[in-house]
This record gives sequence, C-alpha cells and structure tokens, in this order.
Amino acid sequence: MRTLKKDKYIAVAILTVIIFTLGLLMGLVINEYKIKYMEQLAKEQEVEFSSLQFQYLYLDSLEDYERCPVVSKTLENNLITLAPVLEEIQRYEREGDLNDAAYITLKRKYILANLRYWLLAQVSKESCKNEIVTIFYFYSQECKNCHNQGITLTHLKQIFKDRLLIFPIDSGFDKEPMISILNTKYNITEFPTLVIEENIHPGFMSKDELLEQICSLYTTPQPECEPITAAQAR
Amino acid sequence: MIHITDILFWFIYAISLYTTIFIIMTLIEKKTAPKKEPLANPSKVTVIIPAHNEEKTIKGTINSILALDYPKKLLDIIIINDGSTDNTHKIIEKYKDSQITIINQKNKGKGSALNTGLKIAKGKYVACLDADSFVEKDTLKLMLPHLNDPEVSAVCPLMKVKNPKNLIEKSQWLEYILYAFIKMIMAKIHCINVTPGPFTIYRKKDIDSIGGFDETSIVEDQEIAYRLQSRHHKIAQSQQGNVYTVAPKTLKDLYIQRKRWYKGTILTFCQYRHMLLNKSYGDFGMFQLPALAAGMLTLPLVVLLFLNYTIIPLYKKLHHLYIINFDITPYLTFERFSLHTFLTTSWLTTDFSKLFIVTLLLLTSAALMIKAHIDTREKMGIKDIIPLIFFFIIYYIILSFMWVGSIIELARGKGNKWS
Repeated sequence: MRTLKKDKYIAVAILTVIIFTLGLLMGLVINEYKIKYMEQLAKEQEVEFSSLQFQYLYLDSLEDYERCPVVSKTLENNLITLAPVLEEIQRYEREGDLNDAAYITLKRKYILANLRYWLLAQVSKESCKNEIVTIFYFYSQECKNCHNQGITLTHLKQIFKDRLLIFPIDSGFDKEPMISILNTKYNITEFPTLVIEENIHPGFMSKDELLEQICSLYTTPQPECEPITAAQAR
Repeated sequence: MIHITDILFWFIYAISLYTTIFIIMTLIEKKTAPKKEPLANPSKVTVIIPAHNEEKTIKGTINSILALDYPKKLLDIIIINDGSTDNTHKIIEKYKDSQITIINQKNKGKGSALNTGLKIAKGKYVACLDADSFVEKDTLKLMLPHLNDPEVSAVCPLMKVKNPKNLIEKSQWLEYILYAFIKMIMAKIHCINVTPGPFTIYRKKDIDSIGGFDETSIVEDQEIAYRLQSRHHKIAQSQQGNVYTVAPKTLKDLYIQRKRWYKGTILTFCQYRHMLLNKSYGDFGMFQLPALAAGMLTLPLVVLLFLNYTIIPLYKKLHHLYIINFDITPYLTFERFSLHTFLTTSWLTTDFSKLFIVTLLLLTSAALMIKAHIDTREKMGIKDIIPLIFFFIIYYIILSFMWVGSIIELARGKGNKWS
C-alpha cells in the first residue's frame, strides 16, 4: 500500500493561495496608485484651469491687437498638458477595470476642463484668426463604428497636430449635465456624429472624407492638404 | 469589467501554480537514492527489438546494443520483424548468431511483437528497445542498479534526442530534457506514467505476472506503466543511463507522432480512470492523474487564450491600418517609443497582476530549465537561445493545436490506429 503525505498537499495549497493573492494584491495596490496619480493630474489640471480662467479674464481687458499673442501662448501651453492626459483617460476607460465614484468625478472634471479649453479655442480663433479646426466627436459605448472613427481621428490629429483640436464627448455619460446640453444643441441621434466647426455630420466618416472637410476649413493652404487641392484642381 | 478570458487566465494560472509548487516541493524533498551496489553477480538481460520498416536505423540500433559494456554471455538479443515490407528483413538476417535470435511475424503491432519476444526471453531482466533508438556503452550498467530494489519492476532511461539540427528537433531536444527532469522528480513519489519504448528495462517476472503488453493499445508503453502503477509496482527513473532516439524532423511527422501519443494518453487515462483521486494509489492517484487531467483540459484553453491575446489584437491592428489606408508616417515619431513616454503614461495601462504572473512563470521555467540541463548533463550554449525562445513561446502553442486536433479526431472516432 502506498502512503500519502497530506501535509504536503495542504502546504502546496497554502503556498498557491499566498502567491496567487500576492499577484492580485499587487495589481490592486498599483491600481490604487493609478487612481491617485490620475487624481493628482486632475488637481494639477484644476489649477491649470483656474489659471486659464484668470488668463481669460485678463485677455478680456486687453485690446484686440494685444490679446492675440497671449491667447496663442495659453492655448499652446494647454495643448501640451491636456491632450496626452485626455488620451490616457480615454484609454483607461476602455481598459475598464475601474468603475467607481472616484472615476466618475475624475471624468466629469476632465470633460469640463475639455469644454473650457474648447471655449478658449473659439476665442482664440475669433480674435487671432488662428488656423485651427475644432471637432466635437460624439460617441457612445455601444456604438459599433465608433472604434474605427476614433482611429481615423487619432490619425488626423497625428497629421495636423495643434491645428486640429478634437473634443471627444461620451454622449451616454449622463453624470455631467453639460453633455446633455451639447447633445440637444447638436441634435445628436446617431453615433458616431462629428461636428466639424458648426457642420453636423452624422455617421462614420472615412479618413479621406474627413481630410477633405478639414482642409476646406483652413483659410490658408496647408501642406498636408496638397493632395486634395491638387485633386480638386483637376 | 471581468471578461471570460480573464477567468480562464486566472483559472489556468491557479492550476499551473499549484502543480509547479508541488513539483518544486518534491524536487527539494530528500532523495531516495538508488542503491548503487556494484553488479557483483550480473544477471542475464534480454533485449527485445521490435521492428516494422526500420531499414534506415535498425543497423545502428543493433550495433549500439552489441557495443554495450556487459558480459556477452549474459546478453541476449531478440529482433522481431513485425511484417516489414522494406529491407529490414535483409539487414537483420545478417546479424543472426548464437546471441541474436530473429523472429519474423505478420504485422500485428508493437505490443504483439514485444509479447512474442517476451515469451522466449530467458533474461531475468528484459529491455525493450525501439528500432530507431541507440544506447550508449554504459547505459545498461548505469540503469541496472535500480532493479536491486526488489519492489522496482521497471527502470526508465534518460531519453534524449539524437543529433537535433533544425528548430523542431531542437525544441524536442529541450522538451525531452525538461520531461526527463520532471520524470526524475516524479519518480521520487512513484508517479511515472510512461515507460518509454526506447530502452526501458523490466523485471521479467513482474511483467509476466501482469500479463505482458497490451496488444490493443496504441501507446503500449503508457498502458503498461499505468498497469504497473495500478498493481502498485514501482517504476524508477535512471539519472545516468542515456538513450538517444530519432525525433520527427517536420511538423507533419511530429503531428503524426503526437496524434498517436495524445490519443493514447486520453484512451489510457480513461481506461484507468478509477485511479483518479483514489487515495489508495498514493500520489499517482492524487497528484499525477489530476495534474494530467487538468493539463488535458487546459491545453485547448491555452489555444483559446493564445488566439485572444495574439491573433485578435493582430487582426485589430491590421484593421486599424486598413482604416487609415496604411499611412503610418505620422506615427513614426521618436517620443512614441521613448522611455519618458513609458514612465509618464504607459504604466497606467499595464496590467501589473498579469505582468507579475508572466514574470513569475518565466523565471520559474528558466530556473527549472537550467536545473534540468544540469541534472541531465546536457550542455546549452548561447546559440541555443533561439530554440529556447521558440520552445517556450511557439512550440507549446503548436503542441496545443496538435492536442486539440487529436481530441477532434478521437471524438470523430478515429482512435485506434497506430498512425
């Protein structure tokens, strides 16, 4: 007859549980860090935007000819800080392992920051006649074509950099009233919908369609638009 | 959000973790070293070589036996020509003498050929040797001491791949080394579940008492190991006696071989399922068979996970490129690949729990692989890095696919043929 060492089986089970939990805990701890880091970023952003609002007030007090260089400078600064963070928030949302109140608050703050940034861009365009095209990108979590639309937009952003400002709006996010206001204003019923400047384009837009639209909105010729203008000339 | 693939991942991880820890615990347990008594009274040994169309290798096989460092009068050789249709018959006829017996029979399969040999074998010990395998001069002398323990009924050789050249052979070379190492560990707790065709030595009276080889099995070397286990016979694993075997050179040949092995594994497992989780079979029933069952179930899942983590993202990437008309120039910026980008943003999207596991598993595998090389005395050089990477990443995935293919064939009723 054979003997069986029960203790060994139990010891192995305990070790397994310990290592298994260790891995999980590490993930949880780092997740906690991630949130803290994001919160830190959000706080910094808040200061940035208090500063921005102050700058905005200050800009109002200036004459048009003085205002322009200052606005451009502010916009540029914010582009550097805001854009990558926003990208991370979007990606973090897709990963989706975080779904609590902290995250919702964080997201709201970002949405608002984003919209304030949009307002500033409008001012900048009006007073400085900057070559900037702004796009509101309305998407929903269930929308099938939104992923593809996201890819094309990211691609165009890579091409035009600071001359193209894209503001993604998660239409289904009902925790932030500003979103329903925008949904109503642009009469959003279909996803994705792109609002390029004030023109509403429901449904998916391919890379070429988008490029054509964007290029038509610049007042001076852009090097990236050359193939399109050449095609139109023919 | 928890995905089904995540649940699978954690499930497979937990099982592999338990199995690995169990194996490592067994590894560090005190060894029951084989009694290394010198062979004062060497016993008679009969070597049985079943051969079915082995004209390419049989000459080398027989020569390697004739070159064994063992008294000639104590070494018989029986060659069973199992209905060969090539030149095997012509080649072996030349060897016929007082030491070598040759029997020709109609093709009845390896189990039957071995039994034919067993019936006329005169040795106290019987060594079976596949006709595509080769022993070293001292293999027999190194293996026999294990049989000094009267409870041991069989001793397995240290099986290695002969002259591995291409990536597939090299992968098998690594696989055999790792497997031999695991078998050395499992032998400590009497959990060996296969006594390989190349040069396992059996105690004749024990193998006779259990009725010889199963002639219906497609993996007679697995079946007999299970049968020995079910009758509580001990199986030892030699740590020194090398035997070299010819490994399949192409994926197709490998698939043919593995289909037989894997189907045989399932059939044998089912045949002896009463031993599963049965305490009276000790660690064999409580650890070896459950671990095997878990392995059988998780391998198809590994295929699924592989698809999920590699093929699907790859497809998405391609689709992504398609959407932007394959215009990738805007992405080729320096900052995208810089360390700074990683430190500031990429870590936010890294799953550290999975990273921890993957690192842990890689380190453990690497450590076991190094220990396996030391214990089997195989040398590994810098140039073996590529086969090693191939082995750990791609080879196992290939085997998983072969495993799934075997299950499908078995389910469709193509189970009982030798090839």
